[in-house]
Amino acid sequence: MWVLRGLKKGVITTKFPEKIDEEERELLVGEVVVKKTLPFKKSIHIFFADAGSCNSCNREVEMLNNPYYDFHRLGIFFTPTPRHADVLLIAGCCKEMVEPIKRAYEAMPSPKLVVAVGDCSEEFCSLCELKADAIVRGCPPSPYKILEALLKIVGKEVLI
Amino acid sequence: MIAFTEFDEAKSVEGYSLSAVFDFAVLTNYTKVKILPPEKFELIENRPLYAFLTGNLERMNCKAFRLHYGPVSSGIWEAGAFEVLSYGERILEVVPLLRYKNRGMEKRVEGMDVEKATCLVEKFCGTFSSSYSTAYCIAVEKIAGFESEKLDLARTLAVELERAYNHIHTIYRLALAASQKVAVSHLSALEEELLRINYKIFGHRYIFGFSRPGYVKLKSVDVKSRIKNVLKEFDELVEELSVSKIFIDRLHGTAKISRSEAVKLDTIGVAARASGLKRDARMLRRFEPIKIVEDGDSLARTVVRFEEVKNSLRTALEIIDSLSLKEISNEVKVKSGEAISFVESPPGDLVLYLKIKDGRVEKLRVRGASEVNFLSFAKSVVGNIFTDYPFALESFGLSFADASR
Amino acid sequence: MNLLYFALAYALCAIVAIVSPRVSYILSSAVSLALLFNSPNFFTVILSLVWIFTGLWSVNNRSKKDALLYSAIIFSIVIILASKSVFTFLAGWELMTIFAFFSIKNWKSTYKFLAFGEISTIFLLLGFSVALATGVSFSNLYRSFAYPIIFLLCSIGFMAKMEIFPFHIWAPSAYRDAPTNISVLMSSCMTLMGVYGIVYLLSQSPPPEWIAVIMLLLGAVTSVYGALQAATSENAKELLAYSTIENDGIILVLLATFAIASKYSKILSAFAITAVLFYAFFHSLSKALMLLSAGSAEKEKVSTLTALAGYVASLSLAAIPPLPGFTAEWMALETLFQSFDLHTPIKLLIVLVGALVALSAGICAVSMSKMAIYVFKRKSVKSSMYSLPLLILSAVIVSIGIYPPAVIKLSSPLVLEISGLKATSFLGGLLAIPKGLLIISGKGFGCISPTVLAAFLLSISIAIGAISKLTFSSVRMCEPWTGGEKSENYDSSGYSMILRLTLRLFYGTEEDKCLVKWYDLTDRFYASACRSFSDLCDEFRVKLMNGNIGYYVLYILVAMVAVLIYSILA
Repeated sequence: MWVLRGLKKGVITTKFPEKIDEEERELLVGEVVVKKTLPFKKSIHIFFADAGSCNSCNREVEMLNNPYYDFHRLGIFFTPTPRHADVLLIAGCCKEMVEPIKRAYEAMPSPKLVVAVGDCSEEFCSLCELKADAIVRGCPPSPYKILEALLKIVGKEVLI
Repeated sequence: MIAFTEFDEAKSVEGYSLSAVFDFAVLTNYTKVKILPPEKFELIENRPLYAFLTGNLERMNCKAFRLHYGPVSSGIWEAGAFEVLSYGERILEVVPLLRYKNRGMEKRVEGMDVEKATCLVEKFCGTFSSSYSTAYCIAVEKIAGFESEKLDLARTLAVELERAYNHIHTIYRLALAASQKVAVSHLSALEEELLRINYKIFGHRYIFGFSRPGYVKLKSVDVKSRIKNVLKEFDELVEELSVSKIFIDRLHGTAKISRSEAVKLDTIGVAARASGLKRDARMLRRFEPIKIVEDGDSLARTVVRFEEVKNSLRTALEIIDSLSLKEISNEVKVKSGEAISFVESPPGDLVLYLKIKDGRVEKLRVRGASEVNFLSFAKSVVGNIFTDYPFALESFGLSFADASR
Repeated sequence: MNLLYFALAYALCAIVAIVSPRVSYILSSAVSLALLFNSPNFFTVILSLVWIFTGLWSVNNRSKKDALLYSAIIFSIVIILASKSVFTFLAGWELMTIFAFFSIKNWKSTYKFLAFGEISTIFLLLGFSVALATGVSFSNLYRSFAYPIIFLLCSIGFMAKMEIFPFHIWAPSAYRDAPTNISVLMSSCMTLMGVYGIVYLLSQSPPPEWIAVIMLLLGAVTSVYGALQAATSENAKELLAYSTIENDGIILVLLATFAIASKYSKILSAFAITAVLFYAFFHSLSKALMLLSAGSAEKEKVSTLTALAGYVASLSLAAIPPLPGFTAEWMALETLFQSFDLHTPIKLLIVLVGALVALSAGICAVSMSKMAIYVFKRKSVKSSMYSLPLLILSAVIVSIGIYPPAVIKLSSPLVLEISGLKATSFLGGLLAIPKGLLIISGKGFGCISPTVLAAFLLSISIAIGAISKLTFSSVRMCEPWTGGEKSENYDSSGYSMILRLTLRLFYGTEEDKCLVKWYDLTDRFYASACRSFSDLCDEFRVKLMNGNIGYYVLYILVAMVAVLIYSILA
C-alpha cells in the first residue's frame, strides 16, 4: 500500500532556508552571486534550457523535484514553454546552442531574468550577448545553492 | 574484415558487439588488428551504424510532414532534437540530431598532460563520469603496463553505484511519463539518497575527481546500512510497480526490437540484453550478464534494469566488505603508446582509444554507448503513435552528451 | 405580384447570358432585389437574399455557359415555388436537375448527380400518380385515403434532394466539380426546395407516426454521418457538401418532431416549425457566404475581406454567438429535449436523437476550424471589389445574429398557417430585458436573448480594449516559439488523422507505408452494387440471350406484322 509506505517513510523534506542540519551543511557546494532581482515577490516560473552541458547540472536541477528539496513549497514552478516563464535557467556552453537560446530569450515576456548554473554557463551568456543576472558557480552546484539563488532573485533572504 | 585481438577472449561472435570493433577501428585507424576471413562479416559500407554516423539515413518520399522536436524542449531535458516524419498520429521515421552537444572535447584534450586530462575526460558526460574516467585510467595503465586488483575493485564500486542511480533515474522518467506520481516521488528520493551516498564515499555527488591513473580517492565512512536500506526499499518499489496495470500496459509492446533486428542494428547494452543478446562489456572480465529477456520491448528493458540495480547494489556491498575504504595511490609513469579500453556504462558499453606521446595525449577517441543505441531507438519507434514516444525514448536510457562529445 | 412574372424575368436573364454574362448576373441580382421586397412567402425571402449576393459575386465569372445555366436554374426554382398543379411542380423539379446536370465539369460526378436527381423525380412521380389515381389534386392531397403512401413516396423524393443518408453521395463530388455559383444554388436553394416540399405536405396534414419515426432516424444518422465525414475531408467544397448534409439531417429531424408533436401539443409543434424555418434561413445564408468565400480563396489569394467573410461564415456554422447559428442550434436542441413533455413513448427516441444532434454539432467544430485555419490563411493582398458582396452578406448575417426576432416575425404568418400559433408568441421579456428581445422555448423550458448577449460581448471587448490601450506601455512583436529551430506545421490531413485512425471501421482506413486512404463507405457500396448489377446483366446476356441480334430484330418485326394483321382482321 502506497499510503502506508509513505507514512512509514515520514517527512524527509529539508527545512532550508530556515535551518539545516549537519549532514546537509557539508552538501552546500557552490557559490551564489546575484546581481539583479525581479520586481515581484511571490512565486516564479522557470524555464530550463540546456545549452550543451555535460548533463550533471541538468540532473541537479531535475533533483529539485525531490521530496528532499521540494521546490514547490517555496513557490517555484517549472514551465514547458518560455512564454509563461519569468526566469531562464541556462546550463552549459556549446556554440551550436547560441541561436536557439537567443530565440528562447526573445520569446519570454518581460520582466525576465537569466540565471546561469554551473561554471561553464557564464562564458555561454557572454557568447550569447545576454547578461547573466545571477550566477551559481560549482561543477555542478548543489541543489541547495540553486534554491538559494532562486530565492534571492525574488528578494527573499537566505541567512544560511 | 578486421577484428580486434582481444576478441578471442569473448565467448562467441555475438558475445561482444561488432560495432565496438568495426566502425570504431575504421574511424580511428587503429592498426594493431588481426584480419579475419571476409565471408563472416558484411561490408562496412552497408552497415546501418556506419550510414547513421556518416549521415546517410534513408529518406522516404511521401506526403507527410516533418516535425522538428527542438533542441530547447522541456520533454527531453537535454539539448538534442528529433526530426519526426509523420502524417498525423503514426511515426514513420525519426532522425535524432546529435549536433547540438558538439563541444569538440576530444580536440581539447589533445596536447594536455596525461594526468590533467582525466579532469576533462570525466566531463564528457557528467552522469556517466566514472565510466569515462575508469576507461581512460585503464587505458593509461595498460600503456604503462600497470595492473592492480585493489584499483580495479575500487573503480568497480564507483561504476556500479553510478549504474544504480542512473537506472533508477530511467525508471523515474518512465513512471513520470505514465503519471505515476507517488512512484515518482519515491524513486527520486532513492536517487537522491544514492547521490548523497556517493558524496560520502567519493567526495562528489557525480563521482568527479575520483580516479587518476594509478590513484583512487575514497573516504572511509560507514554507509553499509544506508545502501542496505536503499536496496530494501527498491525491492519493495519493484514489487509495487510490477502490479500496477497502467504502468505495465504503457510499456508492454512499445518500441519492440526483435533479436534479428538487434543484431542488424548493432544494439548494445541494456537494449541488447532485453532483446535476447548477451552483450555486456563486463563479460571480458569473466562476468555473466544477470538477466537476458527475449521480448525486446520497453517492458523487457525495464525488467532488465530492475535486476541490474539490485545486482549493482549487492556488488557494492560486497566490495565495501572486502576493500578498506581509503585512498590508494600508485606511481604510474607513461611515455608513449596506444591502447583501447572497454567499460560498461549504464546504457551500454563504452570504448575508448588513447594514444600518448612524450607524456602528453596525442589522440583520444571515445565511442559512447548512446551513439550506437540512438539508431536502435530510431528504428524501433517506427510505427508507434505519438503518445508512446516518451516510453520508447526513456526506456533506452540515452544521453545526448554521451552521444556527441 | 405573381411569381410567374418573376419567372419570365429570370428567363430573360438566361437569354441575355448568351450575349453578355456580366449583364445577366447584374440583371438577375436586380430582379432578386425586386423579389425580396415583393415576396409572397417566407421561402422566397431566403432565396432572393441568396440570389442577390451570388449574382453580384459571380460577375467575375466570364463563362457564358455558367451564366446561362445559373439563370435557368433560378427560373426553374421559381416555377416550383409558383406551381399550383402537379405537372408544373414536376416540370420545375426536372428542369432544375437537368440544368445543373450540364454545369458539372467531371463526367463521373455529373452522372452520379443525375442518377440521384432522377431517383428523386421518380419517387415524386410515383407519389403524385398515386394521388391522381385516388382522385385528389395538388392542393388537397391529404384527403386521399392513401395519404400515408403518398406522403412516404413524396418525402423520399424530397429527401433525395435534401441529401439525406442513403441518397447523399452525389453531393460531395457535385459541389467539388461545379462552378462556385452553381454550388451555392445546389446547397442553399435546391436543398431548400426539398424542405419546401416537406413543409408543404406537412401544412396539409401530418403523416402517421411510423413515417415520422423513419424520418427521425434517417435524419439523426445523416447528421452524425455528415459531421464525421466533414471533419476528415481534404477538399474545401467537399467539406462544405458534408456540412450541408449534416445540417439538412438536423432540419429533417426537426420536421419529424413537428409531425409527432402536432398530435399532442400545439405549443411544441409551433416551436418546432419556427425552429425549422429559422434553421433553414440561417443555413442557406451562411452556407452561401461560406461557399462564395471558399470560391474566392480558390481563385485568388485570400485578402482581408475574404478572410473576414470566411471567419464569419465558419463561426456561424459552428454555432458561436452572436451569430445566427447559435440561436438556430439552440432552438433545435430545445425542441428535441422539450419533447419529453409529450405523452407518447416515442419521446425517448426523440431525446436520444437530440443527444446525437448535439454530438454532430460538437464534431462540426472540427470541420469549421479546419476551414478557418487552412483555407482562409490571410495574405496581405488588396481586396478586390468582388469581395464587396461578401462583406454585405456577412453584415446581414451578423445583424440577424444580433436581432433574430426579425426572422421570427417574418416567419410568423407561415407558422400560424401550419400550426395555429403565431411565432411571435415565443418572444417575450424578462427582468431587465426589454419585451421582444427574449426567445422563450415552448412552455418556458429555457430562454435566451442573443441581442443582450451581443451587447454584453461588445461592452466587454470595448472595456478590455480601452484598459489595455491605457495600461500597456510598449508592445514587442516576436516570432512563434517552435523549440528553438524552425519546424513544419501540421498540415490539414494531420489535423484530422486521429479521427481516421480511431474510427477506422467508419472510414475504412487503410495505412500503406506512408499513404493513408479513407473512404465514404456508402459510395463504395453503391459502386459495388452497380458493378454486381452490370455483371448480372452480362451473365444474362451471355447465357439467355446469346443469339445473333439480326434474328431478334427479325423476330420482333414478324411479331409486329402478325399483331397488326390480326388487329385489322379481327
